[in-house]
Amino acid sequence: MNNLINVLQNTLSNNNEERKNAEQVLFQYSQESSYPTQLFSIIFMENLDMSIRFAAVTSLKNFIKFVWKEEGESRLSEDDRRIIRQQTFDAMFTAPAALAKQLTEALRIISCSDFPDVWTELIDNLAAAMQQYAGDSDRLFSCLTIVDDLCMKYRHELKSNQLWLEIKLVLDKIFMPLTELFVAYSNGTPMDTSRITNLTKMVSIYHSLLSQDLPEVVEDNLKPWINTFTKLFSLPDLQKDDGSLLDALWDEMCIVITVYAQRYEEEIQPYMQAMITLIWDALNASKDTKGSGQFTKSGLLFIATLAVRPHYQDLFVGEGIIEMLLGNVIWPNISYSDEDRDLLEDDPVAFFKHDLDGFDKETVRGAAVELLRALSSRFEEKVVAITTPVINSEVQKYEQNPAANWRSMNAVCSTIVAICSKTETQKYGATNVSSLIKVDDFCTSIILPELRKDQNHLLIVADAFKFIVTFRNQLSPEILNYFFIESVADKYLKPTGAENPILRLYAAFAIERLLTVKIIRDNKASLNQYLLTFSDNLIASLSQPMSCDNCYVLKCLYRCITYLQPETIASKCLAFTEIMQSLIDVALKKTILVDTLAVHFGFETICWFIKKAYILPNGSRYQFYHSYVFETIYNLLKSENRDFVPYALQLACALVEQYGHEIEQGNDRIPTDDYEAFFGNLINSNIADSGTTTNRIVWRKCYCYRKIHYKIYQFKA
Amino acid sequence: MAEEHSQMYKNVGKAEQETSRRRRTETTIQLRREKRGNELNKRRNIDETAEYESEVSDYEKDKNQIQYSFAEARKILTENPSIDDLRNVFTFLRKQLSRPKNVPLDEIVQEGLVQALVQGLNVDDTKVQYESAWALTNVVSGESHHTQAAVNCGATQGLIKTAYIEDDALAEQCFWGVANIIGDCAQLRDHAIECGFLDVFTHYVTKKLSTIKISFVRTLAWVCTNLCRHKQPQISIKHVALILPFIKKFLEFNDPATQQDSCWALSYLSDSNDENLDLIAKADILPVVRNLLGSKIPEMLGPAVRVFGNFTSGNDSHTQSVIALGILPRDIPGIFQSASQKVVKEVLWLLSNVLAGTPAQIQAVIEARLVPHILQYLRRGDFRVQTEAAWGISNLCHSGTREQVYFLATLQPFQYLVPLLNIRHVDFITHILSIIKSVLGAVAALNPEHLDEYKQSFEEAGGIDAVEELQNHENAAIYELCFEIIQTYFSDDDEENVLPGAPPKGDAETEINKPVFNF
Repeated sequence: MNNLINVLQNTLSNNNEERKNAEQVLFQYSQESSYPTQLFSIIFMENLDMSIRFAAVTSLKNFIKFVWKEEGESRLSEDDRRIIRQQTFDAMFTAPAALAKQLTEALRIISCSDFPDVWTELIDNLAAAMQQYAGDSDRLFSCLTIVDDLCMKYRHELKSNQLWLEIKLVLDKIFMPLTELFVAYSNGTPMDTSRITNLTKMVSIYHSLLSQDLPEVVEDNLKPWINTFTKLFSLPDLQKDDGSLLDALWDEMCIVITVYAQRYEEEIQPYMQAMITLIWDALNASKDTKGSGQFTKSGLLFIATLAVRPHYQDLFVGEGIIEMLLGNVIWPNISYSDEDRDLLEDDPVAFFKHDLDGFDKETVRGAAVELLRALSSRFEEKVVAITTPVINSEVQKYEQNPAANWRSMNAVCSTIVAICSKTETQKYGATNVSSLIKVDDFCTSIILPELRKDQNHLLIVADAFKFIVTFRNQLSPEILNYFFIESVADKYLKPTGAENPILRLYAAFAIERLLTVKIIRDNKASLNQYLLTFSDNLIASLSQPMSCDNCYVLKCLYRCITYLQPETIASKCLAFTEIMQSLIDVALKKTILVDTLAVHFGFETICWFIKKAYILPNGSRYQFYHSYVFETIYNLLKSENRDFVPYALQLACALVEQYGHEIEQGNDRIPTDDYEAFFGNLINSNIADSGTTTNRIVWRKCYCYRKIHYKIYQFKA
Repeated sequence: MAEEHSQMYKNVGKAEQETSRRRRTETTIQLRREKRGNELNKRRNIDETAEYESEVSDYEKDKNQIQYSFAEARKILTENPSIDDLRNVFTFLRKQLSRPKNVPLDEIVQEGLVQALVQGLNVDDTKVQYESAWALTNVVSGESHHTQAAVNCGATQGLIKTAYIEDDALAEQCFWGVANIIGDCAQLRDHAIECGFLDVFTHYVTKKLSTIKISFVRTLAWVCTNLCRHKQPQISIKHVALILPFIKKFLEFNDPATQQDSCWALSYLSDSNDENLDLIAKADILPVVRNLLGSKIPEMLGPAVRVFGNFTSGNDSHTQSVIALGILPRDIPGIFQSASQKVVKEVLWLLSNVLAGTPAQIQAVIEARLVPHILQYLRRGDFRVQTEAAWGISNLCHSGTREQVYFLATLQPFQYLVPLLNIRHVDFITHILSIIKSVLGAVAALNPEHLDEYKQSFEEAGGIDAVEELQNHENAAIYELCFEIIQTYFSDDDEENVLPGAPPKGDAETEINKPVFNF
């Protein structure tokens, strides 16, 4: 025993050598059958240094993990295991609190594998412990943690007899004690962190127990739970440095009520009105609390869930309800939050991507939008009637003092996008629009001026671009043309401009999306010079931060280039190619981090030139574009970095394919020396054997093209 | 072996096993309270004169009545009582047992008075016999141990014997008493049958049905329900054959309450094995039940729909016998219009079973224009209704031909399906996702040039967002379905790319870092 203590002590040594040795010796100890028993003894040696006892409990946990979870080899008999189980369980409640956490973890591992088949009594023991330790919040927490953990899987496993038998067993043993405990514990004092944490655990267990179906005993005891929920929702919000203490508890309760509302309508019906009132009162109470995000989110989504279900329509038709929801619940949450602002400062590109993802339901703002959409899908007229004056007054408020009241404008934009765009797709933006505003008028009078201001709040510019993108298929051709002809976006693209570089991403995104609109696509000839300006600006900006590491800039560039007129392409093709080659080169050498999609669009651009500019204008270094491309291809194939080998082969395919088209069109003076040399090398290389699937497929394709190419060649000859 | 193997893995093969027809009896473990929609299995005969008066006035009135303690009553009965004594004591006991509240059942059993009540049936005095039968009826309407106590005293034999007496009121009371005994459990049902109950039952149903009072007919129909009610074990097939013609008689009897009870009886018998279903099919009884589907009374519709639902849960030919009656196009649309959610749920269950059938049977549902109704219920039903509707649609996708699934696609199902994806229930979500997958698959196979429109309507319904969110679900089956949907239909950008797409990440990294070419 003393030896083991020494070894444990040495595992804490600062000396690397000594520590490693000790760990090895400890492993040998663990092969002996007395090892766990000895560890238990050490854990309880009161006059021993705490760090050693802690080392003992950690070793015990690791041992248990090894034996139970990783199915490590062990000569433990079933009897030994039974003893360890019981000892761990008892120790969890009797060891000092500092050590109990590791023991809880150890027991969690055991129970996860042994309950219910091998260790059915565990649930009896837990039920008894729950009552015994109701007054000791740390011990109670351990106990609830185990139960919560056992039950968690009921939420995400598919129904099976085995699973339901287990649930029945757990319900039988634990539900009544849990109910009594929950009611009594919520009446206890003080209502502090540990009490609230334990209450949250209890609700979490409750949630798991009713997630497969509504068990009889749960239904019979609906009243005490709901009454206690009522009580807990009515607690004054308690502030703590890092947010609301009640957030997690309220969140969990709100999710439980949501489950009832969606699945057990009949049973919850008598309590529904009261629950709704409670939840929105709680939303009101917590709306100014920083960090109460989880509950705000689940609360908003809860109301959204009800709003779309026919059963609950009555709850919304009352006088002033929708007004209240819009004013008190949605409006305060619909503009950018402080977290959004932090993200914008810390990682602008991440913010941008997040922002484009639309209203992510994972955020409070997204949840507010979800609720707004749900309400307007059911009560459109009313929502529009209530919102219209608010929008007008908020716009006025903003215009009086834009710097101070930018949030008003931000909320207006979010609201309009949420309500007006009833359905949306990536490809088309809004596909179904409500009558709240006249999109054209609003764009002309409010949105476009925002973009033209010399100075503006960053997020308002972002909002304006998003507005245009969202409604691109609803805006009149005049407005869309205006956007290009009046160079609305130019100043945001200029690399030397005063604007925040993040706005370049918004502008690039907006241009790229607008170019997909049919009327613009059909009209691209007349926009040629503007597209060229965009391209030049984008290329010039590539050396700036947030450019070549970002696919949106390259995607926009690619789109602009593909819209250029043939003669423009012919004249600019080599300059553009050089840029792309250097981009690919940088990515290949990993000198700076290039977004993989950005690289993709680099290659796409070269492919476009293969198609459109195969025969180069007089005065070029080479007469045919393939000469430039083979340079690139060899470059990629010879590189140490093998990442782009598939791209190289794809470029070769594109070349051969286009060569065929050129011959078909009578351009039979194209020399084939470069091709033959390349194919010779390709066939003699080991690329088909050693390569990956992609390589092999592409290689085969190349090989086929080569045969075709020879056929054409021979035919012409 | 293959089946065992698949069961070793929690989710493997599960969808296949479950998307077939579902019998009610197959749900072995229940968490939820079982709410059987029908009549009670035991009824007490409450004294109606007392029922409308308060306890006090009841007491006042009983002042005229001689009051005993139970011990006194016992004493009188053991000391060579006169007919008057018997009348008084039995009336007293019956009244005690017929009180609306606080029935002294335990006391009466403990005092051994049940034995006396059974003997009372043999006394040659109709009044005494009647009071005894009534009192016994109420004893056996109690808890199982009360019933058992009376049975141990020979109550079953006594009541059955007395039921032959030519006094309809007394006979009816005897049937009521036996009904309570049979209603207790399968074992007591068989005990009553052993005591010859079916003979006296047959006697009344075949010979006296047209002459007895309507209340008596109802009692007979109800006793029939109790005969058929118990499951473990179910009444033997030979007795089923005997009872079926009686049920048919009751169903044709012009009284809603009688029809209802007998229809429940039939629903119990049909909630069983294929053998029972074959017998019922042969008994030419289904057309009679079909007539009840026109009823607007939910209590009537419930069991009638249940009978057909049970039939559709049998084999293909049982299902076919339901379709052959024409109820899909003729009756079900009407039921959808008027029925309660409870009945709608039963109808959807029925349809989900038909939709698990042969392509021709699925086509019958389609041609009856019922699929749009089912989709509607996905939106506006309560969760139980939504669950049944989802089963139906999912069965269609699973058992239907590609053309049939494509037909579903043309009904714009995404607007109904997508909003359901936020309901926290793993089995349900799995159903919805697999429907979505099948629908897109059918469009891709049969109408690829319009696939984009369907993809767009899916996206417009919020489908992509919902499925992407569910990719984070802890359940592996849900994750895989989401991944497949995204991967197959929504992974490419909306570009007409020249390149087949970015190379798979990490693909090249596994290679040894040496150049392949050495030019």
